[in-house]
Amino acid sequence: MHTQSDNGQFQPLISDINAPLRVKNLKKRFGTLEVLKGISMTAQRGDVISILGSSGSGKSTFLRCLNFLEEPTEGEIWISGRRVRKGGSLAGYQAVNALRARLGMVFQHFNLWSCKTVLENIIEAPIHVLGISKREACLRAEELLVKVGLADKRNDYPAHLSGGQQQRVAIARALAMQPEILLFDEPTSALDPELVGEVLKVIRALADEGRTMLIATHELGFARQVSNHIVFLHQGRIEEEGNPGKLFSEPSSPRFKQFLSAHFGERGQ
Amino acid sequence: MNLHLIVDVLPLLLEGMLLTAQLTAASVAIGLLIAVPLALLRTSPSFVFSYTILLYTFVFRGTPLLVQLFLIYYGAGQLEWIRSSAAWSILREPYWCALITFSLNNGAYTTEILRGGIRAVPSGEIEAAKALGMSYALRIRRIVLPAGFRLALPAYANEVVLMLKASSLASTITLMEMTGTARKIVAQTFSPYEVFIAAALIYLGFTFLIVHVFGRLERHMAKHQQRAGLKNNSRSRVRAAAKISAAQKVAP
Repeated sequence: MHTQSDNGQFQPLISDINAPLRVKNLKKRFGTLEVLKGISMTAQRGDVISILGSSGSGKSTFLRCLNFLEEPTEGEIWISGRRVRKGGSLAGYQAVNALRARLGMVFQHFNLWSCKTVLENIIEAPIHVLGISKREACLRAEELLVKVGLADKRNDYPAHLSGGQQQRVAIARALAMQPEILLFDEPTSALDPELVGEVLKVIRALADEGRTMLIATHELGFARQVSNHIVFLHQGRIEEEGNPGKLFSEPSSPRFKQFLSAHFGERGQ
Repeated sequence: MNLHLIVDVLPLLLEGMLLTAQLTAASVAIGLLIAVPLALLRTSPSFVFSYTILLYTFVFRGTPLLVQLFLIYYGAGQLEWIRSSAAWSILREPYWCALITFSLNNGAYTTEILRGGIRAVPSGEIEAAKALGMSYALRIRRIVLPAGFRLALPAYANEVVLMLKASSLASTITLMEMTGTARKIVAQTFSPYEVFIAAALIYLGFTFLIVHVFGRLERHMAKHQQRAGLKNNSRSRVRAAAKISAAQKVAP
């Protein structure tokens, strides 16, 4: 793990150069509003990084910048040692599409294609983006459905599923692309409390498999258990980061302390 | 009113009926070919495309179809450069004038109908396609158009019915489609009532057919909206309910 050093200079370690994800001084401005004010981060293979922060702190924007759903205003993104830039050219668009195919994204509101069945949702991109055969895509999709516990729902439409089930399908859809990194954008925030557990269980299983993941979340307890690194964002900057055990027991920044007490205070912890 | 006359007239309208069907089908088909790319450009972020197409749809939706038909049929012949060009061999034929006008008019309406459908596709579904690495063309083909067309289908069915009826205007430029044929028969028989009733019945038959086909299509495409456990269509549910209540009556 390596981030910005004290003097603001970014010195990548040798191990960082080919890391699955390296972000350098990422900035994003919407008009005059600067949402991200220079974020640097490296994720090594198998890292599970949770991104915490109150709403408006830039968690979602950061994840969306990584796969260019929002175009970063400034900064560099390196995926497995290759720099990705957009630019207006056809090659730029192709590079972004190739990048997106390697990053799996799970959205807060699932964003399943409502006119397609569960199975069709999962096989769509592997067939048309990766170019694998329909038979193979279906076989892989069935395995993934077993993994997320929805094998019996393959022919259902998203509207027939609960929120938790839809989110598990969305995770299977992202996994079907065999991504190098999974990005979770508040995966449980739109769910009823009793459905949160089933989705977290799936994400935890993925972490145990050693997948590289970035998770923006409000589930502090979950973040603490599942991740090996935690980043706390505040007003578009990394306010505090470190390994979860240390960070939660001895928070140094007053803002993170405040954030923790706001969350745990009400639960009497 | 002479019922026999109505029945006798029906076969005489056959030829006109075929022309009506052909004109309608061809204009709807060409209109759709025009509308799909235009609707996509109309929803694109490019102002140049969007406003140029808006101008086209505004002109064709903002003027009566009859005026458009007259402008192309009578107006084109007034222009020397058209008369001297190769296009004149097409534009002097009333059939082609009607087909061109109807296609452009239908294309304008269909563009706006499709645009509405495309804009109603949930942005999250498009974003998901982006996030999975689907290119623009692939997203349009696999996600945006199928979903947009589904959403636009009820309005589009209406537009096709309107086109069927609007095709009667072709009779004003000498085409012997159904309305034209009916007027000719009226001039021969002096029985406007029976003849136009016969024509109206055939129009109704066509409309019924169109509504039925689109209804089936809509039900087929709305599978994803039906509630779980109620996957059979409503008619068979009603039938099943009737059977149950009948069985209850029989049972003592």
